[in-house]
This record gives sequence, structure tokens and C-alpha cells, in this order.
Amino acid sequence: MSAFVGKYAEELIKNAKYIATPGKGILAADESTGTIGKRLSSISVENIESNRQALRELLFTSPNALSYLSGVILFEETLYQKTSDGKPFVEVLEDNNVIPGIKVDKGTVEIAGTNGETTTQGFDSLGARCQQYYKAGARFAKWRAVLKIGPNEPSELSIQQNAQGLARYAIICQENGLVPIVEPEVLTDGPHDIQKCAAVTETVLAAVYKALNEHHVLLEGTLLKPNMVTPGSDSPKVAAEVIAQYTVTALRRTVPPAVPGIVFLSGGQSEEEATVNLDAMNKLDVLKPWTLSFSFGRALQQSTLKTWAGKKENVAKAQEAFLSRCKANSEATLGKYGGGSAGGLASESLYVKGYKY
Amino acid sequence: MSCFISKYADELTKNAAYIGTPGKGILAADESTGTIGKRLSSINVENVEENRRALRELLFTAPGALQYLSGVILFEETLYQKTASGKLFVVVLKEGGVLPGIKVDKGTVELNGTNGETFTQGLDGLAQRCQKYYEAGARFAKWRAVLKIGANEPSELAIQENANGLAMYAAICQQCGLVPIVEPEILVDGPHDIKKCAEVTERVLAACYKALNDHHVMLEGTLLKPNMVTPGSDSPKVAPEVIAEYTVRALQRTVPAAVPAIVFLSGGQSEEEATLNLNAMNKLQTKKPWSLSFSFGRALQQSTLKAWAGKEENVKKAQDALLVRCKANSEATLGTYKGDAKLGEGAAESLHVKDYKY
Repeated sequence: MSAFVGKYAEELIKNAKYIATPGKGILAADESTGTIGKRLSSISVENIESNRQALRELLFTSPNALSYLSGVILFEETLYQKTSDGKPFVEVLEDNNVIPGIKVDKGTVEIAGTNGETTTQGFDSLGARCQQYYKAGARFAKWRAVLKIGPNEPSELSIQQNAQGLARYAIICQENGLVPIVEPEVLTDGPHDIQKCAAVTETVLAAVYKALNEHHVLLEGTLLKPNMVTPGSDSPKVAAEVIAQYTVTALRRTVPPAVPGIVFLSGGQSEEEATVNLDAMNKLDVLKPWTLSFSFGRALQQSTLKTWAGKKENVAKAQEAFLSRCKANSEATLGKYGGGSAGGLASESLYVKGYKY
Repeated sequence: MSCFISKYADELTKNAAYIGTPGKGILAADESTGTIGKRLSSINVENVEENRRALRELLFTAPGALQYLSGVILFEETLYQKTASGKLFVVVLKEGGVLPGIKVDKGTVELNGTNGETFTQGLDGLAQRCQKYYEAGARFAKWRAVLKIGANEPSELAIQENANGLAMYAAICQQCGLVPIVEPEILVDGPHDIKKCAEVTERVLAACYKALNDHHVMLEGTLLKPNMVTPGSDSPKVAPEVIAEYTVRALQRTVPAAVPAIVFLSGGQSEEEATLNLNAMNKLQTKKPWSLSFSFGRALQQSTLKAWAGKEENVKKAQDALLVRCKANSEATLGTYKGDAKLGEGAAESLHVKDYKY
């Protein structure tokens, strides 16, 4: 084949397909220490290991929430943490049929000579690290590439660099038993309209899949984590049906049917927006050869965080908020979301200009 | 959009989707004057315009055949020809619910410094020619790029040149209202196994779709005409189910869902082989967001040609033979072909010609 079929091929295909199960999606709980610090400080909680552990325990032990998840992306520290009873988080997830995943990139750095465009680091000893993560129970990985829209952006250099980076990361993962989530995020920042976002998204995705082909990546053992196609953050909003139409058209034009599932990032969208948009896509009456689901961070955790506010006595209520978002998004993957789970917090925009993890 | 939205966008989308109608396919009757000469000489018929016209009239007026076709690809000469009673062929086709198409490439030339690899000519004045063809009634076009498998082939140069040529041709066609059939044929010649063919096919198709994206081609208004994935001509044959599995997988890995239909070329396969393979693909239980159909030349006309032998008294017999193949292939697009088509003389005959040139 054009694709590398190593010893993990069948397992990769099986796991990718499972993550793409209709009715399920991914919780992105892989905020780095710095980023989770920002979240914690927004609810006046100190950024120390025990608080980070408490937050993740709150999420992973939420009654019934895990049934709506097929995977959780973890940060390295969390992969080795346990519940207060001493049970490894990885086991909690596995016991509930949730596949543990691991963020393996090391953030972005600027590409010299460009207007603030970036490439993603993380290749050093990546193979060895993947092996370690596999031993610790991880079965999928995530690597975030970032592109921006501007008068001369994204540049051909940035597109090529990020596409090649994603492809190289993906094949190294597959060599070591981890399903790579391929994430080429085109930021929403800017005054551009939805047509511009669509054009850029299609160009970027075409480059990504060309690179994956060149690097012999087995598409059946991958997932895609793209942005939805929306107007820029400084542009007027449009209806969910419009976002659905442009997004699905862009994907139909670029993502080969061999990819089992597409799990959207939420960008700066509020919890409710993200759910309603995902629902609209799944309601769209057009042929979609991959499942359309979620890999949400902020859009799953926002109300939960605020409800918790770092206090033990709020845990149960916070877990209910989390369950509510998980259930809503599960319904959205089936095109069955009826709305109504939007509390005030769920409608709050989570947009941060020039967002950095 | 990434793609250029031509003023013909809706029409292109509609016509491409129509060509992909389940149960229908394309008759490739676009043999150039030189090539049709070889066919005619094989049945001892002189290569003069009247005979070329008579053959095509036989095909296009075969009773009951047109219902199984959504398109016919014509050579330029044929686009302007008429039946003996004076009716334009394009009118005959349109009345039969068949879209006329036109071959627009001008054959292949060797790529300097390669081992016999080629690229395809025909871009000069292409837009003007397409406009003329549209006026004459054509609604889709075809351009054949050719690649070969060898120790060092296809080279990156050959892949890039041919992918780029296909993309430029496709963009121009769309601006002129013609649905471009994108045909990157990987020749079957060679001792390689099916895995090698699959690997090359995936690599070539990935390059094609990247080029189409670069050139802002609207995929919803295109068709793909690829080779099936098979062992090389000097390699042992495999079952249709194996060909189906490798072929569909290669397409799943490279052809976006926006493409409405894939219409296979028959290469050197016999009429029956081509039909059985197409049938096996349509029986396969797997993701196929595009319809899988045929664009056959030799694999639709072989027994018809032999039955005709250039004689007026054989026309009905020849037309019956064509109907048999059209119906069989129509069933194959639905995965319902039972292999019981009355085999005409030559239906099981291999049509492989080494290093085939149109």
C-alpha cells in the first residue's frame, strides 16, 4: 500500500473507529500546566498539582458522563495521576470504555520572516515518548498545528510546515501504537467572512491530506480535529445551518472517506454554540462518509469549572453541569439535540484573541 | 470557496451527478482517427469517414442501449456527424437521455530524461475549443493522462506534470460549461503485483486531488476515470473480489466525497472481466460516497465490432451484442450482475495491448 501497515495497524483501525462511535465524542482535558493555570485563576483557584488533580477527578468520576465519551485527551502529568482513592485515572477511564489519549506536542514557535505565523514543536524523542505513553495506557495522541487568516496568511510556507509537521507526527504515532488526531486549527481571529474561512480551510486540509499520503500514514487509523467553518471573530455571526453547510462542504471536498471520524475543536465558541453547530451538521441531509463529533475543551468544561469554583461542596453540582454538556453533545452527534441545556454559563463566549494553549 | 465558482456551476453539478446515475454509465467512443483505424483494420474495414460514421451510427441507434448510458464520449469528427437519414448524432444522444462528451486532449508526448514516461498535450487554445464544443452540444470532456509502473516509475516528475495538466484542463473546462472527466491512467503493463498497483494508484490520485485543489476546480462538477487496481499484465490474475477490495480502498484513501461518480476505464480487460470487476466493487459492503460506474471503450465495443465486421446485414446482430454489454454493465453498477450475459464472440477475449497508445 501507499500506507505504512505496521504491527499496530489493526489496533489503530479498531481504536480510531471506536472513538468515532456515533453518540460519543472526546473530552479535551489536556491543558498544559500554564493553560490550566489560567482556567483555575479565573475561578480563583491556586495552580498546584492537587487542584489540577481534583479538577480532573471531578470530570472523570462524574456519574454517567463517561458513557457519552469515547476518549479523553490528557496532559502528561494527568496520565500518571490517580483519584483520591488511589486509582489511576487511566484505569477509571478504561473501566468505563473511554480511551485515554495524550497531548504530545510542545507548543508553537514563530516562523521567522512571517507575520506571526507558527510551527509546532515536539519531534525530539517523539517515538520514545509515544512508547512510554502507550505503556502507561494511552491509545491515541493529539498534536495541534495553528494557522491564521490575514491579508497574506496563511502563507504557503506556514501551510507546508504545518502539514508536514502533522504528517510526520502522525506516522511516528502509528509506528508506536497511538492513533494520531490530526489538528490543523485555522484560528477564528479576524474580520474575514465565512467564505474566506472556507477557502482557507479547504486549502489547508488539501495540503494536510497530501502530506499524510506522502508520509504513508494509514488514514483508517487517524482522526481529524478541524475548526468549524465560521465567519471571523470580528465579523457578524451566521446561523448554525450556514456554518453546517460550509463546514460539511469543505470536508466533503478534502477529507478522504477512509478517515473514520471528524472531531471538531470548539475554538472560542460558547458551549451552546458549539453544540448547536455540531447538531446542525449532523442534521444536514447530505452524504457524510465519516462521523462528525466533538473534541471539546472549553466548550465542555466552562460551566463545570464555574460551578465548581474549587470548592468540595460544589463537586456534585459541577458534575451535573458536566453531564449536561456531555449529553447535549452526544445528542448533537446524532442530530437529535433539542436545545434547552443552555444555562447562562453555557451561552458565554469563550473567545480569546490570539489564543495560546 | 477554495474553488472557482464558474457561471456554469449549477449546470456542471447537475450534469456530473446525472452521469453518475446508478444503472448508467459511459460509452467511450472517442477513438481518434488513427486508433479507430486499428479497430477497423482488425475486422478488415477501410478507415474512411463513411465507415467511421457507420460504426458510430450502429452504436448510437442500437435499440434499447441508450437507456443504460448517461454519456458518450466523442472524437471531434463525430461531434459533427449525422445518421444516414441526416440527424445529428448529438441530437440522437440527447433525445435518448444521453449527454454528449468530447475528447479534448491531443495525445501524449515523452518527458525528456525519463524512461519513456509521458505528459499529455492539448492546452493551447483549449478554452476556445471547449466553447465551440459546448455550442455543438457537448456537456462533458475527457483528457487522458498516462503513467506507467516500473523500477523507477512513475517518477515524481511524471506524477506532477500529469496531475498539473489534468488540473489545468479541468479548470478550463469548467469555465466553459463542460464537466471534466479526470483520467490518470496507470498502465497495467508489467510484472508487478496488485499491492504495487495500489500503492502507485494511491500516490497518483493523491497528487491529482492536490492539484485540482490548487487549481480551484469545483469537485462537485467533475468525474474521475481511473484504472482499476489489478496485478500487472505479466502477473497472475486475481479474483474480482480482490480487485474490488484494493480498488475501493485506494479510492477511499484519496477521492473526496464531493466527487459524485467514478467511471472506470477498462484498460486491457476483456468485456466480461471488466463487468465482473465493476460488479464486485458495487457488491462490496463498505463506504462508497461516490457511485462506481463504467467508461468503457473496448470493453463495450469488442463483440459488437466483431459481429458487425463492416457489413450492413450484420448491423442488427452487432447492435444486439452492444445491448448485451450495456445491460450487463448497468447491472454491474448496481451489483446485480449474475454473469449470465449472453457472451458474444470475443467477450472473454483479453483486450490488452502492451504499452497501449490511443
